[in-house]
Amino acid sequence: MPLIDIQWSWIAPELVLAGFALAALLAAVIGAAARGRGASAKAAMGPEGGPGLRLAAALSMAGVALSAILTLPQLAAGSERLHFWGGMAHDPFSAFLKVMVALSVLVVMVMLGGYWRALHNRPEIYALLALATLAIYFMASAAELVLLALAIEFLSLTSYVLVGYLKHEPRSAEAGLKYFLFGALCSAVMLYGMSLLYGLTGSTTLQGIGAAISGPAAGTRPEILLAAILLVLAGLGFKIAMVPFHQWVPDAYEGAPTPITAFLSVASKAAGFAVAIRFFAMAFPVEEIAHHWATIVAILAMLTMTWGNTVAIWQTNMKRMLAYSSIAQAGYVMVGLAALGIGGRAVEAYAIPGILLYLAVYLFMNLGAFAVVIAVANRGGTEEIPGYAGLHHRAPWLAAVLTLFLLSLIGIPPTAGFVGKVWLFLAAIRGNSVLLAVLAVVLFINSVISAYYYLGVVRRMYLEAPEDSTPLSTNRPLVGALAVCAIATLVIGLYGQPLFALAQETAATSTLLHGVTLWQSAGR
Amino acid sequence: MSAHQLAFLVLGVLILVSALMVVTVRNLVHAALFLILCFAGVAGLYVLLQAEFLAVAQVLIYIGAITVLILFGIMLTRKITGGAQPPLASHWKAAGAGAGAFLLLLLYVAMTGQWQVSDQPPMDSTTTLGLALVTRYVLPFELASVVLLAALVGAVLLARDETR
Amino acid sequence: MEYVVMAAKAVVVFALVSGSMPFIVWAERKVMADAQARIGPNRVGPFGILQSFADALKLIFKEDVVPTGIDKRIFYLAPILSIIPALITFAVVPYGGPDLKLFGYPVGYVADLKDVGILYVFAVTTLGVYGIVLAGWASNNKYSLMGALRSSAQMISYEILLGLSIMGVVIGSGSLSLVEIVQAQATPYFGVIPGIWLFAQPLGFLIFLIASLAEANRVPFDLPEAESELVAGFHTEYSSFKFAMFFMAEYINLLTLSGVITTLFLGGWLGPGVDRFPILGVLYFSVKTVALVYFFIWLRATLPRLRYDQLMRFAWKVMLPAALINIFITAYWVAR
Repeated sequence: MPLIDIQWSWIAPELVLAGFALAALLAAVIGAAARGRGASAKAAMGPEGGPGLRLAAALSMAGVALSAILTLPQLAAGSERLHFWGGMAHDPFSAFLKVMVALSVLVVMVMLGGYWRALHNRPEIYALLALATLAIYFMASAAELVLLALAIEFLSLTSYVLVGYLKHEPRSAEAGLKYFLFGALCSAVMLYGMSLLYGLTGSTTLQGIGAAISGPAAGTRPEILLAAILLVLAGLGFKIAMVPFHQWVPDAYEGAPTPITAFLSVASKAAGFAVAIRFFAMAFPVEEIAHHWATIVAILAMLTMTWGNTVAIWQTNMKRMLAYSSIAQAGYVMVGLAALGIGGRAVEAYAIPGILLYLAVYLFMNLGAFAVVIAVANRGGTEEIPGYAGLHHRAPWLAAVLTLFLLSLIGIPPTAGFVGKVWLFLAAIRGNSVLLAVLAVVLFINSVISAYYYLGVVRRMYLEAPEDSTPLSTNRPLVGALAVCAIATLVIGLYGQPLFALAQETAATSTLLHGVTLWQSAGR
Repeated sequence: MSAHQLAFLVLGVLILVSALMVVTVRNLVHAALFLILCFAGVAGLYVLLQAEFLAVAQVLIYIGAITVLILFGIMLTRKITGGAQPPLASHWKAAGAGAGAFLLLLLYVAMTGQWQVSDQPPMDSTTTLGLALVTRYVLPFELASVVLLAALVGAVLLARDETR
Repeated sequence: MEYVVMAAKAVVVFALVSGSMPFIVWAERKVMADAQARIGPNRVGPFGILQSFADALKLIFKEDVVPTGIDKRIFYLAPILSIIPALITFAVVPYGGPDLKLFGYPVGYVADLKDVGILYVFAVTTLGVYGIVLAGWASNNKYSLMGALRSSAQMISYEILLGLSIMGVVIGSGSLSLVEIVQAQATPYFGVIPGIWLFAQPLGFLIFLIASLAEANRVPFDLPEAESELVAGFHTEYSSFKFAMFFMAEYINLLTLSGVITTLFLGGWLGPGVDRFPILGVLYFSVKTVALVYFFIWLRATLPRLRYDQLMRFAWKVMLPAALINIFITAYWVAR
């Protein structure tokens, strides 16, 4: 009798991605060896990069693309599986997020090709990005605390290195260190919460915890469970940049290489929300508990939105401003999470689809904004906001697409951001709860506040005169990334129905997550 | 009080005191030594729980490898071996309040929670752990190796001197 | 009562192990002298056998020099930390079979930790590095510190090999317990060749042997105290009784490692007639261990010292892959 009954084809996308990422690491080693021999030293140090760099980039991109394609069948209804003794969930929900993240990583890798700083002699950055993507794949699917903790730690470790990648620049090194220290603390707190959950329920799988809470451990006092949940929330809040676990964001975003900043703000955040939704929906399908955690999430969402938007006003550095904006955006998505917990069945059709849609939309508009930041800062340009003055005269197309992305970040029609925000708003309103109504109002007010600083940049670009009116040229990889982001932002804004239908279908067929909306009576 | 309880009490005091010393002594080498003591106490707790394998692994990994590397790092960094580091950072009052609140929370949870208790007799921990690692936890086990590899590559990347 | 017996066994074993140390030193000097065509110690006692005791007395009565500007507590702690692990390893090494009984109590070993066994040996061995590192650091002397850093890097590297190289034996025996590992060697191959792991695991044996040399800081791996480069390495500043403790630790380590190798690869207490007269096991174990000690001394007389980078490269680029290959081959062979 075989000891274990496992088919490795269950995790084929993950295996393929891991294989390609490791191959890319090897390519980096080969490149370094070629450099060491000195034969092609000059070619390797040139602007095109050596054979190692090109090979590593190609392998990483191929791996990410291939794994996304292999994930596509899981989007179909009825493909839902819970493998590895309840450890890995393969459902349309995780597939949607994986494809989305893969897409964003591909754009980030293209952006890396157009990034001006000397990364070309260190091809490992592509391999590390591919490994970070692998970590996100596991986060999106993990339904068991051990695997979950490991996947989160995996993403954290790769992110620390990526943030500190420009180690000779004090800002990048400092950012990496701060991110590391903060992340280590949050991980420790989260693990504490997980161990408490195991102690209370005797199970490490999310399903097992859910079953225990409505069964054998039903007598556990809500505040005890809530304490454990809060501790876990610290780790997740770190990943999604939620107040009060946001302090690392401005420094890390500013110091990291800009493509990596884009990756952190989009992919890493999406992964955090994926875990949060799965964690809450599968492990706490009980009304009383759901109500408690959702109330906390709602309050934190208000704080996150307001804090992010208020502080963003005072920023003079574009990357820092986008960092605070990204904190605020996390707050918007948290509205959907809070609505899911409080509204239950009433918001079933809006909450999870709304979050998925917003994350997808946010991907394009935020990646696009960062691509413009790279384009402006390239060739020794600036990342400071005053440097954007008169951008319209220097690079009219850049100014135009940045305006589009910023309008979308505010949520003004007919951009994609509007479509995304509408569904989160609807989720909050349909929840039949005072708290959610207040949340909707706060969401609206915050959109208005955010308009102030986003439009400030637009005003500078069009109404102020440039200090230096030499035209800005953009390189081909950046043009490609910008085109994808801009077209997606516009198309989703004008005709977002198919994407929303997909998100709704995804949420409806991911029955593992229906715990919250099918509240069980805990027999309390 | 049974011998078991007495042993637990002694180990508990040992762990707490040495942990406190780790963060308060001024000399980093002494702090590392207290860390060893703390880890040894935890290994003792594992023995009390009849988890011999974990106890030995604790000694082997935490005392035998990690702390040695910490000491190694301290000794190679000339500036900080000298001793007088201020043990407390400037925000220690706020940090202390936060840690204290956290402690109270955990104490409350620990005292009032209804903890799941296994009714099975203690078993051969090594075999059971080994089987669990290649069956139920095979995926985390394999993923851990990839995580370690990524961390290794990242650490080398950040630490390597590229000026040569 | 059980605990009393265990304590008694522990006391006897520790006394024997520490008591054999002067004789090992004497043997080393005699063998070395022989190899170099000298006579060696021959004045104190018959064949100079009491020379070590004379030296010990001398060391104890020498002035105990304590350098200034040192970390005193750690300076005193280091020799103790170095000798304790060397002594307590022997607690799990079986010098006689489970059949060896006195008043109905098994006295063939101090303790048989079924769940961890050999892991205990490794855990304790790793502690030995602290004595050296702390001695080097506390001495406030750059040669001492360099010796200490070298030795910790060396010991950590070779500990990994120590662990990996016995995996073959563990897989083959199906147990971590040292007693059961010896028992697994009782069945002869093809009915005639002794079933010891030396023959089935030659690669594992070789790696373990080399790694134990490095772990014990013996020639050709005695870099932590390389006289020509580092004065005397980590114990440069130690004198009198504290120096004697380092000295003792080194030789007890040698004995312990020989005992462990005997147990893992040479069949421990096993030998002809041991099932009828269990007491013979102690004799077999002692003979094998002493032979190994002689082998180690012989190596010291024969081989030159390695360079530091050679040592590290050898560990990571040659021995580590070899050890991994050994594990895979063994696993395949067992699973077949």
